[in-house]
Amino acid sequence: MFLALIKKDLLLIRRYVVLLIVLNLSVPFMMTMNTSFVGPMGFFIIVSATAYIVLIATGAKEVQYPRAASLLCAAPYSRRMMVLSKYVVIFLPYGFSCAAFWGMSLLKPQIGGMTPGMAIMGFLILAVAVGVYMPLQFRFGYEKARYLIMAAYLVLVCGAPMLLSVVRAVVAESVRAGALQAFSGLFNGAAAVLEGTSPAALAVGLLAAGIAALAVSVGASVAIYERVDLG
Amino acid sequence: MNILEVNGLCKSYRDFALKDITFSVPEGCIAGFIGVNGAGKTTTLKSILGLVRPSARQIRVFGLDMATDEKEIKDRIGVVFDDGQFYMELTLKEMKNVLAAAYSSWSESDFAGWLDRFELSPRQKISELSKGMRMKFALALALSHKAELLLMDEPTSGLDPLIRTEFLHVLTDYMEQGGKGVLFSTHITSDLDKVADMLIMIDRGRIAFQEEKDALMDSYRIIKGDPAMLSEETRKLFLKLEENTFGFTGITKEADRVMRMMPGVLSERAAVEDIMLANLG
Repeated sequence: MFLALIKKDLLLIRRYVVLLIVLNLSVPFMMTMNTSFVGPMGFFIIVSATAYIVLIATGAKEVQYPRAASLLCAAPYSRRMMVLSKYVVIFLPYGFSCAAFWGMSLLKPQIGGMTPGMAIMGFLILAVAVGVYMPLQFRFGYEKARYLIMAAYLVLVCGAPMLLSVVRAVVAESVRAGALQAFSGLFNGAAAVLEGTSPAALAVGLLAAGIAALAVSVGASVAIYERVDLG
Repeated sequence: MNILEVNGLCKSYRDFALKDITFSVPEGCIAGFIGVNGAGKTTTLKSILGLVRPSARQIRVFGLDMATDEKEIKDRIGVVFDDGQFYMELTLKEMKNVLAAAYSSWSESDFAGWLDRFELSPRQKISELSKGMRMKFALALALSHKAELLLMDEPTSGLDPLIRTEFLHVLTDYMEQGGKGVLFSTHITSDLDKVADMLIMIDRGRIAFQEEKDALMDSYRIIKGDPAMLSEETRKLFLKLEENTFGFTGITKEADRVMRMMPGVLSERAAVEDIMLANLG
């Protein structure tokens, strides 16, 4: 039952699947032309691009067929199941990205290799990004959610320097210095804890953090979608 | 026994509200759900299915409560929406596979039989089907999992008379199996003249009436006559009256009194559409 929903989404984005395969197989090779992109950085770029394409493609299909979800929810598909299937569809290509990057790095070692740490870190980044975006999409719809994310990004990029200059003008230097010291103390403390932690424990911790972020996001998305009036 | 019971269904939008919708559909009955565009037919059907969230409702289907047994109820309901509401780029087979997986009693042989009857190919893309063909496909899906109740929202809207007639034949065949029920919303009331056993009318978000069709049709009469026969007193006997210099046409529920007070007028049986128009608020 659940697999049918996942298969449905994959069928709807089948044209993009070819693009994703090409992207995952060709980009690692291209990265070797610029050494700053090999290794983890290249992997994270591919994972992000893959997830972004799947998000955009599945979201666009829901916009194209806005009333199809009604037909599925009129059948014995629960809304929880509908939401969960969307998350799975976004994370399926992540598995493929890992496998492709690992396979490509075996063929061409200059790509930089693939470690379990990279896979876990990629999962955490994806879990946080998707975890923030999906409830917005279920609440506001695909178009508005995209604009919201873009607006938030612009505010962050343009607003941060402005905020810094305002803080410089308004807050006394001694207070700023104190705050900075407190932050660096916090950062150093966290770094010391991480240094003292075994890599395995760190990996488990990051994995758990990613799963927790996703669990919270799925819960929020389900709660939102349960209340949505379907067209 | 009632196959569907709706009690106190309320749903408010900024400029429209369903108010205390209460009606029932007995087993073995094709119930026509009539009303003009915007009266609340679709919102009512979607509220029954939980697709829109009503502020208040108690819905029982097959004696089960929709609030607690939603999955089991939906497993036994067939649904047909006005335009199918499909993913148009999928083939019939792909769309079928998505829906079939949700039903515990899905029958591949039934589905193949319906496709044969409707001359549809599973390899066709839904986007390549005409509206009539899409509605046939929707009906094939709704009838292939042993559904005991069919909920249909304007299924015949936009279809030519030939396909509509075929559609109605399918409904009567379905009812002959026994133990079934149909709630069929439409504003094409001539379809209901042919197949409905009961009529439920909604107007501006309220139920105007629920009655057996034959009793309802017997209780209304179209009266035609000379405008000179109309007086202040006789005008009150009509629910709706149209007049010009050549004559008047009115609809009444008091045909006997009209005939006594206005001897010589013509009395005709009212159609469902006449009754619907007479009951608009």
